[in-house]
Amino acid sequence: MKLLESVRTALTALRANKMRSLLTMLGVVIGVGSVILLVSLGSGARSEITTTIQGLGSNLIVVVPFKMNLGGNLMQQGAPQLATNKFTLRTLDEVGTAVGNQDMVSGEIQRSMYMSGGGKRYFGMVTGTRANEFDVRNLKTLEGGRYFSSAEEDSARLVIVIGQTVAKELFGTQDPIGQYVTVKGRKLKVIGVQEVKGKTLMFDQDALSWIPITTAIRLFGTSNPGTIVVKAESTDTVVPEAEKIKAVLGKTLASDEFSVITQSDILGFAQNITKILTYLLGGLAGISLLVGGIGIMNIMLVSVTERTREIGIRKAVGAKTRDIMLQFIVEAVTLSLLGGFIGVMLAVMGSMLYHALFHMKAQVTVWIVLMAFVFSMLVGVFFGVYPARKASRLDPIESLRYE
Amino acid sequence: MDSKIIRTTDLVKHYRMGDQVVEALRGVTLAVDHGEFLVIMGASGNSKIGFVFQQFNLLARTTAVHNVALPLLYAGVGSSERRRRAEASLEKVGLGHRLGHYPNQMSGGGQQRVAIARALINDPPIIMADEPTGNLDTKSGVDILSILQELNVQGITLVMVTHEREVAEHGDRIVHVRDGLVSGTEGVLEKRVAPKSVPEPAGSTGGEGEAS
Repeated sequence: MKLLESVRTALTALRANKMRSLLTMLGVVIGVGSVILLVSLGSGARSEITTTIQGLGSNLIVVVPFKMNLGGNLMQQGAPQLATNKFTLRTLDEVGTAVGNQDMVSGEIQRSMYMSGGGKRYFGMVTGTRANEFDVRNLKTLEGGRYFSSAEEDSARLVIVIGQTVAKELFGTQDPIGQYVTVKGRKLKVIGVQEVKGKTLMFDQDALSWIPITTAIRLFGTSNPGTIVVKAESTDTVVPEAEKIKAVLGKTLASDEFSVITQSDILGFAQNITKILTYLLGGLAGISLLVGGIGIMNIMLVSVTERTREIGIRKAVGAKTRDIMLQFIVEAVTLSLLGGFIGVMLAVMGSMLYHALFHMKAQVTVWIVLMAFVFSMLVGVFFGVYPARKASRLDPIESLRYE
Repeated sequence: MDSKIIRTTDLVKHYRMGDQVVEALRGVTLAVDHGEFLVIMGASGNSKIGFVFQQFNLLARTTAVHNVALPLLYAGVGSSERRRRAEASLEKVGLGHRLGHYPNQMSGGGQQRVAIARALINDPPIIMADEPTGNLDTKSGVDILSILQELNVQGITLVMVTHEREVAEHGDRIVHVRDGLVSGTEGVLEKRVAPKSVPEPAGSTGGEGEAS
């Protein structure tokens, strides 16, 4: 008997038991759907994180006031040691001296707090930085107004540059430039508004505001920068410059009181984490696909018992053992492939919904879809063989007598 | 050439039913002539082999024409050829107008005719019928016997199992089987002839009728 005839026979049999076929398929639908969806979400998050980190600039060096080990085995990592912050404005100068250019070094003191203005309140992140921050971090994209100057930094002026979300929340459609924002009881004059940056990884890049670092020291009551950012001269000088910074800081600070991190360190770390996450999600979904396969086997076994008589009739009129075997395997594979197909459709729809709802990327790649298809077919063959063998080995005379 | 189509010498058949071994045949010596209508009589439960069954044995969710074509499917015959031959076969048993009907849309007699059409599809020289009228009312039974007699006239050898004397007398020769052994053979002196069957009207599902 030809394969095409087997497929036709199998489809007829599956159509005869529509509800049962549908429920059996459901296991594979959920299995394949969740494998594709979760792996897609995982790899989407991964590419988004990668883009975000690459957006930092490939020649960015970040210095933090605690020990942070981004290399090596993640499992042996442990929590970062949160030592007391020993960074001061002097540390900035030391780093500047180390790389030979003070203009390429900025410090950041960040606080989340309520800001008020235009008669409204907004909870956002305020960053105290040097005037060169926007250059070091490649942020030079103002929609209106200007950044603060070195002079304003030196004299700790009460000025602020706000993000789009902050502007919209506080001032609505009004022009925020020249208006005042109150932070920690002090009125700061809005001198600039950033361009729309959008969201990366659910984090609103437009919810940020910047003030001179000297002003921040006065308002926040701290003089310890939480981060020092350095722009290396070029991508090639990142590593030697990072080494110089390490050497200089090592003179005054203990080894667990600072870390020098480059973009490629962060990138490698983030990719490592997201890779583990993706595999974990895929693995979990794979288990549900396995359960779906067992569902197929279960139903096929029931079906073999229920159709003993049919098998007997087919054998009595000339069906060979392998004809019956083929018929039942094709039935199982048809169930799993159809389930796989519906699963792929649902996963694509799910990832679109996810994108629409959370504005996050889900990468449904051809590769993962093909994988899921092949895997669901293998599930069908694997879990179909045992029932099919059982069916094909029935004795026709015994089966005809079966009630 | 041997004039016999079947010859058995001391045929023995044991089968297992649950834990019990049933000795269905314990040494049967038998010969069937070409073109003969042989009837085997014995208590129900004897020798269960054959190609037309008391239970019809049709696939339930399959139309008449597909049921009839089933043997050709496994013989590797192409789909249009299968359909053509199945239609011709159903025509022979008077069901040319009920090709697309499912078994549960037909009377017992109708289903048995489909089973006979299926047995005919490969142009067999011999048809074995195991109590073909056992599950039918008298009129439908007579219809089936009429079809079998007609096939016999066309030269097909028939071996039929029954335990009803009246049914048995439609054949040429009766072999009595008792306790797995041949207990006697008799020629039928006055062979009964079943009146030619009238095709069932389309849509009818009842096979009621009186004894003839």
